Amino acid sequence: MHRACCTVGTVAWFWAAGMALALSPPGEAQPPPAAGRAAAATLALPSPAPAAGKPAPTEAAAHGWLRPGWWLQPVQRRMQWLAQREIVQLVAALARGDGLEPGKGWFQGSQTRLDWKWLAAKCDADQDGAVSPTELAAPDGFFERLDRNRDGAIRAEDFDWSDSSPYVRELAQARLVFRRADGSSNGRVSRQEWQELFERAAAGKEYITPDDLRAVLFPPQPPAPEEGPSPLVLFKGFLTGELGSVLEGPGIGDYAPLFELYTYDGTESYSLAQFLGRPVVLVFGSFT
Amino acid sequence: MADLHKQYGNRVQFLAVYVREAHPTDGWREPANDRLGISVAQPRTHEERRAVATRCNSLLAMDFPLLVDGLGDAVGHAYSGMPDRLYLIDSQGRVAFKSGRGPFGFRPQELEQALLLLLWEQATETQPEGSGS
Repeated sequence: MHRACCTVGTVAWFWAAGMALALSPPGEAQPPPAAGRAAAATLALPSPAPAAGKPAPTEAAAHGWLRPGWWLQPVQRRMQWLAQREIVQLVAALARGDGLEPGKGWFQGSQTRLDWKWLAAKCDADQDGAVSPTELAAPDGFFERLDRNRDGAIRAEDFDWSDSSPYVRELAQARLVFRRADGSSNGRVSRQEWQELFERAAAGKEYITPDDLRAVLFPPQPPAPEEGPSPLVLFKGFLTGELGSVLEGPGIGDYAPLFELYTYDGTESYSLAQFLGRPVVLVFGSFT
Repeated sequence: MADLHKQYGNRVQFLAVYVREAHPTDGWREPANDRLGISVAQPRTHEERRAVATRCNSLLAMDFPLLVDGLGDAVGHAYSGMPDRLYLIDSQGRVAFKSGRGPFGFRPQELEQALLLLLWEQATETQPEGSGS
């Protein structure tokens, strides 16, 4: 009971901050603490204006708690910190009616230490904005995988993962076809599943036409589209963490929190510490 | 992910952490899951969660360890891993890549890019100084 009250209290506090952020006028955009986060709107507070017509403060009075408005800067800093919290950004986005979509609220892009600027600083000797295979000097296959748009050089565009990048748009189209074909939903399309997609599109014929393909890729939607989750369901998802954790996890360059967990069959335990010395990929997810 | 593991699994350790269900039947139910026959309620005991994780493991034929988080999602919260997320941790134990929050941010291709660059960085740092990069 006490724990539930604390959780609800914490969430209410952040909710209030989010509403304040959504309703406040946009102030000067402060630089976000880490790349990939949206620039947070400031919570507008008045700056301390110099008092007119008053004698200049003495040396002692100019510093410390005697200085007029001394409390403003620390409060502003706290407010900026609060405005940049992911949960506050999510609540502000929902309050503005943005919904749960990429680029809104806490659904921001990835963060990485290994970005274009880092690579260019390491490799781009002639500083022409392109890293050639000789400049990279990597083992076989690396360059081809990194040159995502296959234009013969690694450039800043190859690091662009925003929704407007050509690669991401191509991937979205490929994913659409993939989803239609992957009948078993196991993340792989077998030869048989691909054949079944053909059969569905051909509908008895020995060939398919563009319109057949369109019909199978974009099937008619059900007449009564289901309503999205109610605010209560969303709020419950918020509290339980199904929508996402209120916490933000380690940032780039932070030490990864150590843990030890058992496998699904309970036979073995793995500790993150045992893999120190080699890179580790952590994949978080669930069935649904 | 299976492809990534196949290609780089000998140089990088892959670990999957199973956290709370994103679309349980008693929460934000997703109709697509019903159609695919994978609707489950939010597990209330650790055994239930392990059972669901076992089903997930066999369907996806995962070939790297699938670890099951406790019901309180301690590891999930420590990494903000819900509903899904990808991390790349370098050999010194520091986070080198952190994907956006799932489901939108869960992109194995982004992870692969970071992985390739990390492996390349490791290779260039262990090589003796040559004619300069």
